[in-house]
Amino acid sequence: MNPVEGTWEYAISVVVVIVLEALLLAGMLELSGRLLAAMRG
Amino acid sequence: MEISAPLLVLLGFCAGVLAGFFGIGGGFLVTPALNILGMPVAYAIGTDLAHIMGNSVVATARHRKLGNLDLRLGMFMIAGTAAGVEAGKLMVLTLEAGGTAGSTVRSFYILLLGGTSMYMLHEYLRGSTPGIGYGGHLRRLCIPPMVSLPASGIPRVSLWLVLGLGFVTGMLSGFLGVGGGFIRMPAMIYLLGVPTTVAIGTDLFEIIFSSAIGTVLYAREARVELLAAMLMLPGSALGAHIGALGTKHVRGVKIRFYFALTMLLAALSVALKQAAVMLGYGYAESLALLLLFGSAGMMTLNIVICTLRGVAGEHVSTSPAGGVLAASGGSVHAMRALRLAARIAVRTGERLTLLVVREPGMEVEHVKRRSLEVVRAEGADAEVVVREGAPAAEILQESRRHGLLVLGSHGTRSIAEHLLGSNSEKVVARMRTTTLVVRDERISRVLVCLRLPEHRPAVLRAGIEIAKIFGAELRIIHVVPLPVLYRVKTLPLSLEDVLEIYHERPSAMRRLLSEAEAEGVRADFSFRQGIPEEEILREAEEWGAELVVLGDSGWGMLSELVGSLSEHIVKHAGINVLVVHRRSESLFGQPAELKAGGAGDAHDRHNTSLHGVSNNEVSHLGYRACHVQ
Repeated sequence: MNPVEGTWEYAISVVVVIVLEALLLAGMLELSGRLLAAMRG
Repeated sequence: MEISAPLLVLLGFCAGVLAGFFGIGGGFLVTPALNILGMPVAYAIGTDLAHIMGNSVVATARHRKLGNLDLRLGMFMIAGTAAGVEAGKLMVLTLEAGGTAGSTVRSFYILLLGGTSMYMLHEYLRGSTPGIGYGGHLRRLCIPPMVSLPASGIPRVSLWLVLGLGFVTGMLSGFLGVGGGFIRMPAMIYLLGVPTTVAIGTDLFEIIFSSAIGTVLYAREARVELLAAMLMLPGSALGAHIGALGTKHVRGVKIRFYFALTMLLAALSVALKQAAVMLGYGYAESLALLLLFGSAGMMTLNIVICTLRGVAGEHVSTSPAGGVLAASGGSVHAMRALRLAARIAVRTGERLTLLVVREPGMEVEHVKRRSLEVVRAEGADAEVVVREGAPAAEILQESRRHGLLVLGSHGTRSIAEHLLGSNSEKVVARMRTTTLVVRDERISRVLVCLRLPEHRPAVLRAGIEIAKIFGAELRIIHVVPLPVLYRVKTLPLSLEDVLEIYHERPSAMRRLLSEAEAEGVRADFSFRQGIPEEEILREAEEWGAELVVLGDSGWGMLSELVGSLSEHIVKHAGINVLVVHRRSESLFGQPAELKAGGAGDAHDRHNTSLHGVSNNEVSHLGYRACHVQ
């Protein structure tokens, strides 16, 4: 096990990383939806 | 421990599609799958919680559903949820220390998935969807302290009930690595009496927090595989989007059956994994993996293909066909259809073609003569086409060149028809043009089924045209298609709930009615909530409709298996049904000359968007809101 794993810092970092990835994905989905709508006219 | 990265992405995608399609979190699939893939059960739970948290953030960011949140209720429940998640985690870690975590959690999964799927299968075979009616008793519990929840319209409720609910779902989340929404949402509605829209928002809020708490607690114990969660997230976010889109294109009362089947197969896979661990059968583990990915993969593939074909079908060009084609086999019901077809042809000025398919023992000349007599008695004339072969196939082939196909159907059915489907069902299943299935010559009440907010204007236009031809009354019905899991138990929804959930604008709905009124057709609106097939038939029966008008939708691999909405209605309605072909823009395939705007604004109407609801507009409408319960 990595010595960092299992600490509070690591636990909070996991949440932050997942939330950031999720927000990025939501933004990408939103953008691709708009792009498709624009292409469809 | 090594797990293939593409397999994780695929797992995320499958879980996302199924979750979006069935309206659940998808946790029931991921934890067992990770465990079967070789991840110890505590890691599987922690990783799945991180994945669920990410997914709920994507859902919230995209739909911004938290607008209907009861923050006070959410905060009270979080206290219970946090304690529940911690309790669940402690149970898992204690079991892990004793070396029995894997088998205990797997046993719970077998019980939970197996029990729920068996219950759903039993309910499906019984053919009923009973509601829950015991909520009031618990709400009257007076164990202090009592709290009020004004945002949910609850004056007094025991805090213990709220905390208890949070604790139970939190524990489920911490112990099994699921979101717990499938218990929390119905419990909030039926046990606490929270309005449905508030329950949806608060449930999402709870999922974010319970999974975040779970992620922190499991990560603190080094039981989260961050990379695995990150790899699953893109697939599941995209999959959830496709799955949710799929519910618009795939319908069928048997979807519940397939959901139950997926859960049952997942339970079986977990049982195989359990057997592999307990008895040391290596091949059982491979079989479990194959079964889980095979069943989830097949179901996902079906949904994706149906969705893609459904989306493509919405954007094909207009069919140039015109005229009425009536199929005649000389029977009483065929003659009834001929009379109706002749009336339509006379009143619209469209040309009429009679199709006679030669069958063994049929006197073709006699059928032709009798058919022409019937048509002429209605003041019409027709061209007769004779073909040879299988009736359904020949009718389909000939109907390509016509705007409207009229064919008769009889009420009583032989055993063969029950098993293989009648000619009318076969034609509707593979229809090439708008099809009117006739069972009765009278048409004085027309029920038009629209799918809001992106309804196809052709369906309404065809309904208006046919109502105008027969001087009939019109009713527009919209059935709120709640995700399948929530369909298991009927949820109470008001018109305001419907408008809020679908962000519909009352003025756009008023425009639908004014389109009918501009044509001199009396029209009103009706909302129902539940399974579309059942609610449309119920509305038709209660209102006394003589014709149901609906769009041709829900085709693809899954529909081949379970049947589309239109096939179901044709099979079970017992009244006339008009199925508007996906390429048609009106009753005869071409844009109708509507006074309210004509063909020119067909595109505008197609793009009718019902966003931006204003609640004070709702009260001025006076629509009828029909409730299932």
